[in-house]
This record gives sequence, C-alpha cells and structure tokens, in this order.
Amino acid sequence: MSRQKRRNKDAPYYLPHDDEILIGRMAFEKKLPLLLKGPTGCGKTRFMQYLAWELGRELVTISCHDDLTASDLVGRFLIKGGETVWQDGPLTRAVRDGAIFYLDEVVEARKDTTVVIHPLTDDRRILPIDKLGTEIAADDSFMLAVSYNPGYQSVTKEMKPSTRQRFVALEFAYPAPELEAEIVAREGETDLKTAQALVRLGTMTRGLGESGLSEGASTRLLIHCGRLMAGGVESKRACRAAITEALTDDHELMAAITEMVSAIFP
Amino acid sequence: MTAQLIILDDEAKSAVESQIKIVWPISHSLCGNLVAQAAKILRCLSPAQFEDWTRELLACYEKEGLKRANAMIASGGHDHICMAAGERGLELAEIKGLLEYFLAALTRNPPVILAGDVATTDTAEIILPQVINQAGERERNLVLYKLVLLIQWGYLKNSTLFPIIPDTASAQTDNEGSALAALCAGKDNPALALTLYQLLETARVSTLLRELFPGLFHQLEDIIAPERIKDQHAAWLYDLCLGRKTVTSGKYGKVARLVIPPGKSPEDSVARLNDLYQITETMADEIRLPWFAGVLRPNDAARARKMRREKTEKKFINLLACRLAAAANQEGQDEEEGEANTPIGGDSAIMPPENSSKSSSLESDANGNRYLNLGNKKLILDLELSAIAREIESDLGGVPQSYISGAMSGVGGVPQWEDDGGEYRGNKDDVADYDEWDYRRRGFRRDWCRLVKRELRPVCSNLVRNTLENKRGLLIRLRKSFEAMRAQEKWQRRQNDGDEIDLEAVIEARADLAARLQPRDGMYRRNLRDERDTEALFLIDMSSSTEGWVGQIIRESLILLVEAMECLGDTYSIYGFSGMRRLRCDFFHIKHPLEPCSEDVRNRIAAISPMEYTRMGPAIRHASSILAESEARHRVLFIISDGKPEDYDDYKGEYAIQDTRHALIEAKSAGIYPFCVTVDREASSYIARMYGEVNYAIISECAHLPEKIPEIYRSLTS
Repeated sequence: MSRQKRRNKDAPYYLPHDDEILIGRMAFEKKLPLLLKGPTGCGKTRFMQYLAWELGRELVTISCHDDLTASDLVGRFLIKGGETVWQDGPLTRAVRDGAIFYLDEVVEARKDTTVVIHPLTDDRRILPIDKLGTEIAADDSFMLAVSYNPGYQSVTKEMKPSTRQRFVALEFAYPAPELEAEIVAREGETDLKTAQALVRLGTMTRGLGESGLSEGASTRLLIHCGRLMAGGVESKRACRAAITEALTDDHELMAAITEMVSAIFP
Repeated sequence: MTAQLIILDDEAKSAVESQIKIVWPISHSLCGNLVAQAAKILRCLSPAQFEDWTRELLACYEKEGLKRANAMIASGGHDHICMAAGERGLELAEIKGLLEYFLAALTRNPPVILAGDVATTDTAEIILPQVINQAGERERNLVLYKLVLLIQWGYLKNSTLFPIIPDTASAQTDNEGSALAALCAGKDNPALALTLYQLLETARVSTLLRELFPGLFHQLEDIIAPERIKDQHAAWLYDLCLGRKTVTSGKYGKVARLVIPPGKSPEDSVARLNDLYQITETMADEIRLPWFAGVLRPNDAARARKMRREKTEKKFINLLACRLAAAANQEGQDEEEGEANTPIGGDSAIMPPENSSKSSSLESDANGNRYLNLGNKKLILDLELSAIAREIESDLGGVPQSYISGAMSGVGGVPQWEDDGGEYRGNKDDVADYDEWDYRRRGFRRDWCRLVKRELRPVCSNLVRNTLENKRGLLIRLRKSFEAMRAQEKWQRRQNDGDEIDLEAVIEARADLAARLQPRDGMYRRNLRDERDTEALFLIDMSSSTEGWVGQIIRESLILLVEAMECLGDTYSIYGFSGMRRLRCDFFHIKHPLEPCSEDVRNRIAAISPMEYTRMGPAIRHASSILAESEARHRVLFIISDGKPEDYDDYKGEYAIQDTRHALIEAKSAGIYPFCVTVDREASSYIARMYGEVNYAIISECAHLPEKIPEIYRSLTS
C-alpha cells in the first residue's frame, strides 16, 4: 500500500481525454464512490493520483489480491510493549482522516473482504468496526474509488451487480494517438517522433484482439519501451523486451509483432 | 508484332520468333500478349531461358486458362529465375498467417489474403505472389512481402481504386463499373493510362508508407538496390514507386517531376494524368512498373464494391424493417393503453407518413442519439443499425432514400411462420418444448420449439487414435497445465482444524484477549487441494456448415479437451445440436455430466458429423436446464460454433440473433456463465451482441482450435 503525501507540490502528470476530471470532482463533492474500469496501463491509477492532488486529499492505494482480509483493511489489535493497542487499517485511517481510498483491481480480492466497503458506498457512509463495537462516520472529505479490468474473462472473478451498482463509473480507454504520443514522450523520456512510432506500434498490437492477443500494448508498456530507448537500448531490442515478450508467449503472435517492430523502427 | 521486336537484339529476337511459331497455333491472344511483353520479359530472362519459360507458360495456359497465363506474362519472368536458380524462395503459404496478423493489426475486417501470380486487390481480397525470391534469404524476402502487402493496403486505405472523377459520363457508372477504368478507356492507349495512374498512386502511397513504416523502407534500401542495378532501364521507375525522385533531367526527369512530390489524394493523381500521358505516349514501352507495385484492376474492385454495397443495403433494409415493425407493434399497444404520446426511443419507432418524398438523413439529437428523420417523426437507431448506417454514410455520403423506402415497404407484414405440423412419434420423455423469444412483440412464443433428445451412435474409427498420436506433444502440454490447475495448493486460514497453526490468527486472538474481547475461533490453517467447484457443459454446433475441415478440427479439439478435462477433475458434459425448423431441434447426447469418460464417449465424439441447421435458442435453453441442476459454484456453458444462428424457416437474421441473445440472458440470470468459441471470421458483426463484449473468442485460424479451446477454458475457470 502507498500513501501519497498530502497536497503534493508538483501535480502528477495527467492528460485528460474526456470529462473524467469533472466527473471525479463532482463525485467527490456529492460524496459518491467511483468505479474506474478499463484495460491495464491506460491511466486509471494516474488519474486517481491527479484527482487526489486536485482535491488536495491524501491518496491511499491498496492493490487487491486473494489473501487480502477484512482485518488488513479495517485494522486489528496488536500487542505493543505488553499493552494491547488497536491499530487502524488503511481503510479506517482514510475514513477518519478524509482521504481518498483506492482499491486497485478490486475483483482480485475475495468477496468476503470487499463486502466491508458496502456501508461506505451508500447513504450511510459508515465503517462498522466489529472488534471495537463502533461505527465510524466517514469524514466529509472521504472518497472511495475502485478499479478493475472488464476485459479479463473469468467465471471466478466478476463484479457482482449489487456491488457495481453502488458506484459512479468512469470508463477508461487508451488515449487518442496524438494525446498518447504526448504522454509517452513525456513519461517515456523520449522525443515526440519516437513516441509517435511507439504509439503506432501500440495501436497495431491492439488490433490483434480477434487474432488471439487478449490485450494489446498498454500506454504503460510503451512508456517502458521509451525509457529503455532513452537509456540507450537499441530500438528494436527495447521493443522486444518491453513489448513483444511482455505481451504474449504465442510464437506466431510474437513473430508478427516482431515484424511490426521491424517495419516501424529503422 | 514486328514493331515490338525491333528494339530487341538479334539473339533475343530470334528466341522470341522461335516461340511465336509454337504459341500462335495454341492461342492467338496469348501469343499477342507474349510478343507485346517480350521486351520486358527479356530484361529479366536471357534468350536461352526464354524457351524454358515459354514452355511453363503454355503449361500454365493449358492447366489454368488464359487469365492466369497472362498474369504469368505480367510477372515478367521473375518466378522462372527463382526456379531456374534452384532457389525455392519464400512461399506465401509459409508466412501467410504472419501477414494476416499484420493486416489485422492495421484494419478492422481485413481483406482475405490469397496467393496468385501478381499482387492486386479488389477490396475483398488481397492477392500476393505465391513465391517471392528476389533477395535470397528468407528474412529479406519477407521484407518484400510486407512491402507488397502494404502497397495493396495503401491502395485500399487511400481510395486509389475509386477516385472521384467529375464531369464525365463515367461518373454515373460509379455503382456499376469503374469510373477509373472508364476514364482510361477514353485514351488511345488505355493500358498506358492505367499504368501512369498507378505510378502516381504508388508514389503517393509509398510516401505515406515511408512515414508510417520507416523501418521497412530502411530495410528496403539494401534489398531493392540489387534489383535496380540489374534493371537499369527501370531503376528510375523503382525509385518513383518508392516515393523518391532520383532522375531530374531528360525525358525521365519530366515524368519524375509530375510524379514527385506526390499529390494528397487520388483526385490529384487524376488531375496530373493528362499531362503525364501526353509526355509518355511515345515511350509507352518504357513505362513498366516494378513487380512489387502489382496491378490495378479497377473493374474487379468495382464489382466487389457493388456486391458489398448490395449486401449492406439488404442488411440495412432488413434491420430497419424489423425495427419499424417492432415499433409499429409497440405504438399500437401504447395507443390501446391510452398512451398516445409514447416517448420515442430505441426500438419504439413510428410509422412514417406514406410516400414521403423527403430524403432521409441521419442526425444526432442533443443526447448524442442517432436518429433517422422520417418526416414529422423520427426513429432512434440502436447500436447495430447506427453502425451500419455510419458505414453506408462513409461509403455513399448518406443513406439513400431507396433504402428507407425498401424498409418501409416491408413493414406491416410480420412473417407468417410455417407450421409444418410434424409430430414426434417417439418416446415422449425424449422431447421438451421450449419458448422462443420474438423481439418484435417483446414476448415469448409459448412452447414454440420442440427439442428432441437423440443419441449419437458411437463410431469406431481411427480418428481418436490418430489424434492422440499426431497431437502427442500438445496433449502432454495440456495434461500438464490442467494438472497444475488441479494441484493448486491453497492455505485456507482460520480453520477450527488443520495442518498447521495460523500464526496470524493466534496473534490476533492474543491481542483480542488482552483487549478483553472474545477471540474468533479458528487457530489453524488447512492446505486445500481440489478447491475447484466448476461444472461445464460443452455445446457443439453440428450444422451442415461444419462439413469438411472445420468438423474434423472440432472433433480433434474435443478429443484433446476430454483428455485434459479428465486430468482436471471438473464435472463436464458434452452435447451437440442441430435440426430443421422449430418442431425438430435435435439435441445429441455425447457425454452426460456424471457419465465416466469411456470409449463410447470418445467414439461418440468421432461420430459427430454435419447435420442441418443452427437453431440456437432451444439448444441453449435445454443446456441451461441441465446446468441448472448442478450444485457447482461455477457453471459454464461453453458453446463451440462456426456461424450465426440460422434455421430453414424464418429463424434467421435479427430474429435469430435476438432469440439466441435472450436465451443467453436467461442462462446468465440462472447463474450460468455462457461463453462462445467460434471460427466464423464474420462473427464480429453479431457475436458481441449475443454474448457480451468479453464472453467470446473468435479463432481466425481453425487449425488452432485444438490448443485454443483448452487454453480458453483454463483461463476462464482459474
């Protein structure tokens, strides 16, 4: 988990592609929880970082996984120096302090864990702590956000309608090519022309959805590749390491992507 | 003929004349073309090679006809050099899959790639040379294949085959013939005119490609150079076709100045054509484009476009007619219920005024909904109709009034279903009646379909043994990966009993005690195996379209799948379906859920054969009823199909898609997870509407099914 410093002096770099900042701000004002959905590496977490900065709130991010328990989120008693001390979990701290609490890839957590957020997502905005026998009313500045990737197909990991209907949802997609090139150039520490070539490659890989590649290269992968190139790695080698090998193990698809790389990068 | 041979030296002339005597009696037309192209061919072949090559030409003519033989002449003898040198070259078949991925990455609904003698496209297909061997090594020939493919793609993307040519009678032929062909036909030398246009367009396309794919052009520098050196007369044309001007003086310089820098559109190329034609009319024989440019066949393209437009028109009219009929029904019901002012939206459309002479137009309202303006009312289009309308708009500039009229004339006539009155005379326990969803009335036709449960007689064939032998490597991999899924260990914490103490639970309990709280039970953790709680039903489309290769691959896939599933331990069943009309929907037993996987099961898989039609709704509903009896936590309905739902009667098109979609929604409501694997390349036009955006997989290469199906199942259920 990570805690971002309150009111960062430097704004996190984020280029909006639609009205997501407006919706995010309005959801905060109206005390509504946010659901971000979109493919991996398209800017969901970076959006939350930016939103937190804009709102001047702390951002607490939890990456969800199968072993995450309700105690991990809410808190537990610990023994310190012979005394029993209640230790707030990150969720409880965020609720008390009015931070933005962000559950990344929420479907990865077990349902009996994520159920703790339900009272925070409706009018009540409370967090019951059974062990303390109390309920904490969320600070006015508290906001809950979750994210997931709807492109993953699995019968064991789906968001239940009773959960998803509690949120205001924002759909994220990869940015338009001009915008994406700007982002890749900036974050990938590379020049615009190289960034444009990387975006062209990324766009081509995303067209292989019906050819067996479940997800094409994300903006994040393109940025990684840019950074490798900026560090002096030869362009084709950088593409192989950061994109081709990361995307798939299928030899035919890898060969096809390699040919795309050769065609785009001299 | 003599004039065309004058430019040749004596040896070459003698070689050609000796072959004329042989070819002329066989085909005058072929002979004429051979002589016309002799000079070009003899730039490539030596006089000694010419005789062998001509022999191959005649064999091609006798086997495949005049068109193919002429295409071989057009290729200029390159293939022969490769064969004569004993170099096989790179065959398209070896890298077709890779090029298909490349094309799929560039464009949605890519044209099909086929092999031929010369590169060309008619928009529905891209023909590439069967073999390329210009550069010796495989990798270098692959670069050339990419160039040829991208040039053809470039022609399509940049509308090379359909320039807008105003102020000519040929403009009216836009829908029926090619305006470009008509324009060239107006010249004294139509072939030269078309070649010059292609030169202009190839230069334009190559300039664009050079920006998009600088890596490719960098590789080409090295590869194309030897060709240019070999063919000095045409080197300047090679350069122009790659978007470069390397000659600036003399007659070639004049040509080059008109070609480079290239225009921005095919209309710019048309505008330059006259000037270019005038200065090259006297050197027509010297204007031969390099082989990688291929040929333009504008009439073929016009024909393919006409067919595509007719198909789109029919689809649009059918869909719109259905929407109008549904809306008319709805409006009728609303009026009966006293809701005369029904809000207009989605499928609730209105009857337009008759004989409306006003052209329709697609517009968007304030909410971004697209609607069709029909006079004093409007019909809001759903997603599918909007998408087709957009396609028509981008093609024709607007939706023609004739399309709207065609749809309107179909409204009011709800198809009358044939009742074939057949009665099943077998065991009544083997039949089940199912409702069918009629989206136009937004209601079910009760007990409309009769599903008949049938047995597949097991067939003892070599298929099972051959599949297990031939795919031994794949089978080993599948068994390993499915076993790994089964053997996943998972520590279940906070148990009352278990293999080890759960330290975290103990610490927490100690802390709770100290806080004078009742600690939770469960101080142990247990190592869990067999946590899987999944049951799957595999539903196989046995319609007649699975005849041949597709059916064979499906059977092989199932044989391997069964082996993998036996390793995994999930409960599973397999059924097939087909049938004809609503009163005979056949549902074939292959394996029941708790039935052991015996030799009979495998032999029933071998017995799967193409039957009749694909009425999916009843099959899905019956399969859902089987899965509904399962107590497994996860229940998956895995459908393997090769096409759209369709039956002999009116169960087709939108009606069939909507009923299938409804059956899948019913399955989902019952807690069943439907997923479809299809090999239908055109599935993208309908499958997402039935299964949802993520609940399907299109396998473009049928041969990959045996490994894809288990892989999909594995990722779906883990």
